[in-house]
Amino acid sequence: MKAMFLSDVLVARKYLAQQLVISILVGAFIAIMMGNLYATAPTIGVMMPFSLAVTILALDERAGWQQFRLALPITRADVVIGRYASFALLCLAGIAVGLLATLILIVAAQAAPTVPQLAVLMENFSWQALLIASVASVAILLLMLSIIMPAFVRFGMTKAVRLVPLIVIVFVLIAFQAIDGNIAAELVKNVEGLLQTPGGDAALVAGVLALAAALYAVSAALSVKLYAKREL
Amino acid sequence: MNDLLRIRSLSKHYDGFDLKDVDLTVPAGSVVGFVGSNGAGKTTTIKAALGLIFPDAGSIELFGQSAGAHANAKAVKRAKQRIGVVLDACSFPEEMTVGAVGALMSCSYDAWSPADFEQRLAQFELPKDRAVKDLSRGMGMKLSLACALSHNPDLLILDEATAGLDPLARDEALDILRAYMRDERHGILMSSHITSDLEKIADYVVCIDAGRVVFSVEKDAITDLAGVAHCRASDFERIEASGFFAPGELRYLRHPYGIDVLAPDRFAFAENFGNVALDRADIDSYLALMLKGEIR
Repeated sequence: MKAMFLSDVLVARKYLAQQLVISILVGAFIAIMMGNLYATAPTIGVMMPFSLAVTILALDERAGWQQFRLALPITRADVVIGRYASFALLCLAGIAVGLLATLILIVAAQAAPTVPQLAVLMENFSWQALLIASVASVAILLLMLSIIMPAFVRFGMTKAVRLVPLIVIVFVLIAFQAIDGNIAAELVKNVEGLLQTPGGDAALVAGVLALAAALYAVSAALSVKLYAKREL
Repeated sequence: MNDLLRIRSLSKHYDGFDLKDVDLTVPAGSVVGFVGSNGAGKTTTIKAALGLIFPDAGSIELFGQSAGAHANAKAVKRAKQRIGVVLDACSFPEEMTVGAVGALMSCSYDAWSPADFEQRLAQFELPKDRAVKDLSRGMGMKLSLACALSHNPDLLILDEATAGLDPLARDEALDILRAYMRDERHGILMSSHITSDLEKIADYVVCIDAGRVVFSVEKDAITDLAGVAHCRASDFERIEASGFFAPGELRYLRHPYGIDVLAPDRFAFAENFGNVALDRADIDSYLALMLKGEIR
């Protein structure tokens, strides 16, 4: 698993600077255009890890790497678990960079309150809202990866990209069918209640992260089973 | 003798292609050349041995341990610690540098020797900061070879590793493999289209065609013992009528200018047919007669 994790990190490192610059520029642009800071961290936190993850998946199929790595002393389970671990690390790194960029904007806004584009960012600013937006973006990214990764693991990038839209649509339809309207209303009401207190915020954040992590783990377990049967 | 790799009755079905009952053994201390035309089943066999595909039937053993579809994954992982693999292309992620590939390999192999790797990089004149995608074909294969050898494996599996190399680079690669084979515990399975390479290094030659093993012989039985007789039609008729070849064992290939006959023992053949032109066989001519020749 360590070798697989390292190979992903070494590949990601190559594109990291480029993706950092692009996602930070986009995140800062969105913040200034929207006039609030809450979109910066989520934009960077989703954009950078997702593009790096897709790049890493695409490079698997180049020059026979995905075949060769199975000739190394690495089990198929190592390949999948290492991949999920490296993508989880990318998620954390992405949101950390996003929060850092947000912090830089906050410092800039406080240092130059006369610049209207920066000053507006701090109006009604809430750390709790920033935290919730950031956690939501991590959860959304983990959910996206949880849905698409089994397809990529089973079929490889080239085939899976044709299947992913279908998988996402099916997943959304199932989710809508599974969640009863009354239950959904009740859930929203409970979330609103939780958001009234710092303790409630913390509980919500922890709950969302735990749920996303659990889904990610289930996806990893499914991918291990699927990859065990894949011929390369 | 200790077998490093033993494949028995390996079968695998694909649409339009069947690998059928393939037997292949790599004993310690020997180099096994694996030959056959494109699509004959060489790579499929190697993929099965490495666990990249799952055979429909048959058994695969690495160092005496089962390594087939139902083998214990950790046992196979342990066995792979003792194998070095070079595929037909430099298969490392293209964006990695040579140095990063070394770091990756050191994570993969318990017995990885950074000093050995460094020494091979210096020997091959491979710059550590060069990206894999910027290496020439020859340099890429040298990197693959350096990675395959720097954990001192007991078994090397080379799939068309010398294809695309210029003659000098091929000779250099063969010298490295000869040096590796000085240790009698080592063995090589080497699939190649370049039969002249196998003539220089192989101990055994296994030929596969249309998914079936056509022959599996000691190389010396081809290059030292066998011969190719160049016959006129009248010579051929005389040879056929002589009973020198048992029914079904006379292999021949018609050319516009005559008929080539495979003599499994060219010395015995020469004693019987002294007036027929006879050359030593090489793997190419032996292959041609075995694969394309007619039989009487």
